[in-house]
Amino acid sequence: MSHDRTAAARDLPANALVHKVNTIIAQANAIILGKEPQIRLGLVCLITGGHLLIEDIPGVGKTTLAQTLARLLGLSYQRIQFTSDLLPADIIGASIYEQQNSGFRFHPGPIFAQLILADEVNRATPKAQSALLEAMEERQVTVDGVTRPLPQPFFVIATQNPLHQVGTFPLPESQLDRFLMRLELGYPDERAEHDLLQGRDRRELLRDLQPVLSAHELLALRETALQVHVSEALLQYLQALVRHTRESPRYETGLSPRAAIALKHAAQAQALLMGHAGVVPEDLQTVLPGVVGHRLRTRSGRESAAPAAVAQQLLEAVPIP
Amino acid sequence: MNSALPLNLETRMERLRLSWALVALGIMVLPQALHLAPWVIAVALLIALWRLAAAYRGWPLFNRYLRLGLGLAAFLGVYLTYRTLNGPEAGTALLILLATLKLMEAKGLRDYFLLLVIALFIGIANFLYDQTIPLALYMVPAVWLATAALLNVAHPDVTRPPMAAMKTAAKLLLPALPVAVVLFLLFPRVPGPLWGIGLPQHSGVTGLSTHMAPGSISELAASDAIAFRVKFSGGAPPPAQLYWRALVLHDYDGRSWSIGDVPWAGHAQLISRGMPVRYEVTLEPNDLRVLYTLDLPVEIPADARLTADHEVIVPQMVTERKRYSVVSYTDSNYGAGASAWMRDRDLLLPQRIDPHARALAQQWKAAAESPQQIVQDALRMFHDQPFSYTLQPGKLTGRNQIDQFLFDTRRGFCEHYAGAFVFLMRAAGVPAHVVIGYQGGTRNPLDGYYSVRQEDAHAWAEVWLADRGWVRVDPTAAVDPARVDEGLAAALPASEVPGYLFRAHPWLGEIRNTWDAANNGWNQWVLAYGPALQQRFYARLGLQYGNWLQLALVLLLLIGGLLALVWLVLIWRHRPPRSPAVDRQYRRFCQRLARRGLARKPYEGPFDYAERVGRSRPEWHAQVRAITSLYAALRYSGTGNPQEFSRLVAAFHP
Repeated sequence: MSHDRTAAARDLPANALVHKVNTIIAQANAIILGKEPQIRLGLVCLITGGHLLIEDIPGVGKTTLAQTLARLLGLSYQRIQFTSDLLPADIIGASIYEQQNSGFRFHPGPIFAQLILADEVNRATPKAQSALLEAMEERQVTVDGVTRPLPQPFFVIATQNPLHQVGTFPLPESQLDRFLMRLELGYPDERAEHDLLQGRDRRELLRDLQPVLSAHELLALRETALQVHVSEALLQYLQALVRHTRESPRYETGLSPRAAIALKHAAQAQALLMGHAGVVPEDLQTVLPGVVGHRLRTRSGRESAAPAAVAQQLLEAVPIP
Repeated sequence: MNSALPLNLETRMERLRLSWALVALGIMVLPQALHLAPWVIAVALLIALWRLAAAYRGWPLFNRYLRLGLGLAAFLGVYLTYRTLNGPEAGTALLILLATLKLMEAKGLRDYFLLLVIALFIGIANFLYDQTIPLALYMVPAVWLATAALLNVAHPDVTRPPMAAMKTAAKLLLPALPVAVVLFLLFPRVPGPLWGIGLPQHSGVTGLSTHMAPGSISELAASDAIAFRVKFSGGAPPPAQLYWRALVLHDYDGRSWSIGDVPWAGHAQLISRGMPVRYEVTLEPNDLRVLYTLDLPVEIPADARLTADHEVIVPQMVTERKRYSVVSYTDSNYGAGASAWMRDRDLLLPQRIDPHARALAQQWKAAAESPQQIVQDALRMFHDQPFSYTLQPGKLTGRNQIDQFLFDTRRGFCEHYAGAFVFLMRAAGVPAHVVIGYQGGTRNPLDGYYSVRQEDAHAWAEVWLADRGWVRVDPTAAVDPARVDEGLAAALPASEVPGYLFRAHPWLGEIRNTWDAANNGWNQWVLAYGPALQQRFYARLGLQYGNWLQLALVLLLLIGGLLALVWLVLIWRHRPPRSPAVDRQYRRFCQRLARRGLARKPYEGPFDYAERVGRSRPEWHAQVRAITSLYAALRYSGTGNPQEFSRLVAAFHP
């Protein structure tokens, strides 16, 4: 979907911001080779204001992608490595007694940052997971009866190993739903891998990155995305897709209204990045696999069909009105 | 108390299924509850209640051995009650008992489907007992509900409102209705009534019997049940001639008149005058071997035979509604040449009873010059002396009931007058007998049928006169001519009139007429729809009866046509909304490309499509891209110039 659509583009007031995003994409592309669609979708997710789940086997660059995005977006950044002995307090923080003050003082945990990289979330116990997921949902944490808001913007990029690996606690469906998108990276293609092997260490490259976008600009982008025109025709298409998941016997459960809203917002952000004045079906089709992949389960009972295949089937089953 | 804990889905599902199965079974069993042995219903109810308690209060379910034991006990109990396991009553009783036992082990969709199908089957069995309009009307919502139950039992969402299934069930059943009608009308019928499996369903019919005692006909006057319906082809005779003959009673035992023991075979010569009356009778079951005909029948149905008394006798008791055609002459006599022994039989009287009546008869005989005059004497007595026609004659007691009636009470209904008259005639040496049947009938203005009800039951007399044969004499008419001319209601004192309400309020009468006509239509056209009517219907459609190939084709066409109609309605309802001009033009653009082998896939976005087209035919790329961009702007951004788009599309000719 990299073709030129300048004819449809209008003079958006946010053109400069979009340009910056394209810079980010270019820079990230130089580090994570051959993964432009995923990088774009990751950015769409963050612009939409949703949390991102990256799922794949170890060693394909999940963490690198998360770190790259964090660096380029210029957000305050914390990384939490999830392990089986991680406690909620290790994420949220705790009130600790201080002798000199003769009182408890709250020591904020790593969650108090604008961008959290939650590495390998499914290695922690459900208790620790739910501490993170609650914070994601509420955008605030409550410790000892005191509610503390989290910084704005607040993003979580979580990475996770595929579920069949040993020593993991798979996230329940209800918690998967908290992530706006789930992405898979997959193996790099032949040429990308060649470049990767020939090039410098990725970590060094990362260190050289400079923030391109500020937190403020990111919030402005989000506002702009929400202004992108969504036509009646597109809403019909969106509803037809959602209805299909609810009526077709292929799926165990249909998409929720929350998922439908997520689809709309993500498509708006995608349209913004593509320079479209209104959301076109392709925008929706581009974001759909990431948004619905972890929300739809096919009924076939087989160890679930690949999410990408599920999404493709859905798209091909519903004609554009 | 139900705990407040949220129930797991499985439990809720099973409860929902159980409830629906119980609803469906209940509604289907209800109409026949009274026809079955009370213990069957009681046991079924107990088991069902236990099952409910098991679901909601945690009572234990019956284990396998108990179920087996109860199942065997059900077989035994049904056998002991009905002396068979076969037949409609025993069969449904067993089915109901086993279905409730099945509730005890039902689990999962398959079992509940089975139970609901059994419920529907029990519903069909209802028609074995009763084929009236009310039951048919009851079964409509019952089948609807059972279909909804099938849907609800299968639906995975326990929180779905039950009424949603009612709507779906209606949508499913309505298209099935015309198919059912077509099959009903055209599918070949087997001879015999559709539901006739020989149930003893008409025991306790109120109506005439083979004997007559004081009170036996006045009892019938309280019943407005239909005895038979008549359709005259051509004009109907005047009311005073509507004497519907049933049986002739010869023997008197001092209290009641009966048909006697000697079978009366042979044919007595008939003298008729005037025009024949042709009519068709639809007789309700009367538990007799008699068909009612207008006095006197000449042409009778093939399976019936005429006795010397001009009774119409059939070989089998009439236990099901029967339709037959008759030709009668209302002005006729028979038996002019009756043999002496036949006449003498109608002179017999019990010894040593009713001395006063005998004395009176002897007195008339001595004074009279002819038997006609004796008849006139008797009628004059009934007319001149203070006899009254009433439904409440008081009870006659003792040995000399005729005396008591003639000289003491003087209050009576038609059986009193007919009986006393015949007694007097015999005592005076005039051969006479009692005839019972019906007199009159009301024409229903809605369908032109005459209804003769049990309240029209009547008794009259026939006397034998040498030159004329048997002549009808109705002593009741002498007492109260209105009975014969205007019907029972006009003759009786107002307070005694049966069905008084209907006569006092014309609108009630109208409702009764309508209901009556509906019932009659139902009988004539639905229940009686057998091979004969079907053959006529085929003929009217121009079909050959018995040509199965033709029938199969017609059925295929009709049902196929109906299904096609349903299909068209569905298509019409799901048609895409009328597209605006921009969409139509874009579709035209796509069609043009499709003719060039580049059809747009239905799920393909416009830009993706343009890209694909551009890759395979670069020479069109610029044009296609311009059209696509403008289309996207018009359709998805609400901007752009439609006229320009129209021009671009019109100019594009790949």
